[in-house]
Amino acid sequence: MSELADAEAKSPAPKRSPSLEVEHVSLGYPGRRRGEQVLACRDLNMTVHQGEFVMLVGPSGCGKSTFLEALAGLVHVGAGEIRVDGRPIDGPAKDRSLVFQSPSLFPWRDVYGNVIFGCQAQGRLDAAAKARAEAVIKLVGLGDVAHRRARELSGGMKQRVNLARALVTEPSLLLLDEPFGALDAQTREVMQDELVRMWQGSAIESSTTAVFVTHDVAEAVLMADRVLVFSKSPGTIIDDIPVSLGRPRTAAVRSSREFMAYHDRILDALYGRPTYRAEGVEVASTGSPRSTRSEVSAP
Amino acid sequence: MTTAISDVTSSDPGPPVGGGSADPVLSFGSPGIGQRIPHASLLFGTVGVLLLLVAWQVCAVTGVVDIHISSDPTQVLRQDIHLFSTGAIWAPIGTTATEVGWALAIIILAGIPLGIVLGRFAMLRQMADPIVSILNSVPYVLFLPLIIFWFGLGERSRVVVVIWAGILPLIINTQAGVRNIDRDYLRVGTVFSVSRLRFFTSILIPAAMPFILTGLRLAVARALVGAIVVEFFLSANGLGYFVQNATSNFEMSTAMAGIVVMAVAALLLTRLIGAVERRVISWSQAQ
Repeated sequence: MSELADAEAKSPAPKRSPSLEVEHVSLGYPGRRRGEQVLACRDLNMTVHQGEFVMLVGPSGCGKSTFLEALAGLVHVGAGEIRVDGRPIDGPAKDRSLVFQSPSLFPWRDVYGNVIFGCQAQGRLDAAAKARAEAVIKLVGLGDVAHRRARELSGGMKQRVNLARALVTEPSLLLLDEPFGALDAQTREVMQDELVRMWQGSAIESSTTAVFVTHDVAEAVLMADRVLVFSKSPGTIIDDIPVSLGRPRTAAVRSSREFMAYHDRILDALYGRPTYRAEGVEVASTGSPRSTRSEVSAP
Repeated sequence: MTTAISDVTSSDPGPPVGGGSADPVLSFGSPGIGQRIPHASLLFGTVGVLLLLVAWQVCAVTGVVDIHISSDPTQVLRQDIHLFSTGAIWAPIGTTATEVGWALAIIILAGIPLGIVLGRFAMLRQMADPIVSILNSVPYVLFLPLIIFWFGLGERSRVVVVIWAGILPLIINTQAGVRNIDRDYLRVGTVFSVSRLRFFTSILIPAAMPFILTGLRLAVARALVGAIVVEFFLSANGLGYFVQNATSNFEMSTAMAGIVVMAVAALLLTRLIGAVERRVISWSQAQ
């Protein structure tokens, strides 16, 4: 199968059934004081189609990671409903897996042991899963270190294991929580390019849907079929930008004029868009003590 | 504040702080003598012990100490050879080993599950906390008369005392290991919907293993002390009784020979646990 044909299959197809539906979702977490609830995001609505790669971009502390954790089933959904393939979610399940922000590997297992953990935990570690694990380890470039302990790996290698562990379970919804955020700039670019390459190739099932949280705008443009922009805390979606850059995308896309245009557009949405600015002014004018308090309670 | 101060000292090319060598980076390529020689710690440890024995021998020969009270290394060695060749030492060793063996088996089989349960269930832990800390801080010797009253004068009482002496550090450490489990591990387990059983075997127990083995190390040391103490009080055999009896009969070389046997046994047990640690939790040890 040629890469081009694959790429076509991956492009957003409105005809396809929605893979993820989010309706009026608000999320909170317990605050420092007893009984207090801090609102992380409010009234989130989105529909993501099967095979789509959606990037969530927002300022730090806007609740985008909390939302992703809710998708993974780690955070209780306070209000609204999240449906995956039509079924409302209730906690974690086999159809979703998460690439964690920190590698979160088990140091007593080697690379292979960590990669198969997901399948093992879900009780489906058969010969096929083992073969898949080996293939994915090669794919993420860790073939030579498959039997090294986690502590012997560099930061970038650890994140490759983290990614491989999520891929081996063949989720229909792949969730990524700033997986490259803590890497050095050079490693980050390499990893971004590799993920794009894997997404466009046959490494990841074309029916897989991905939701990727980041605060790196360039990363968002490079990966996305669609970028959803979050507001400041409590986060809500303030812009929905389809990215129609062609696929397969290569590292060269980064320097194209189109890329820069998308980049600026997202930055505008994040910081300078008129409607957003007006909202900010409005909040400030309703009284400074209140706005100060909401600033303080933000994580 | 502290970081600010250390920043100043490290950027300031003035005299080195704390009398150490110049720049710590420079020492990177030139390890000290203790690191250059293979098995250095074993070698120097042996040298230390030998120096002590020579000093003892010299003191005894020159009459600085009374040989009737202190014995000397050559006599102790001769006595040890005698005890082993006649087989007189085997019975006391067997008795103590049986006691300690039973007690350690029970300590491991009961202490680790208890620690895990207390670590996992907050309410049980809060209920057990005062009891555990009282039992851990009040000397168990105090309960000896009661234990004799409850369990009689036989081996059962002795095993109970050894368990009592050794189990608490294992419970406390296991509990700490379970409570200190990295939140990330729990999240990975949750996201991949790990079953309850597999959570215990694949995440909880491996993650707590460094704490469990530290607890076990302490438990073994305390159990040995417990075994000797209880033999001082209620026994007609065992190594503790053997040493006490020899001392009462003013046979210092025999008493010392018994102590040497005990010391070697303790050393071997500690080494055994060290080997287990190196195998099982090599992943957690500092480079």
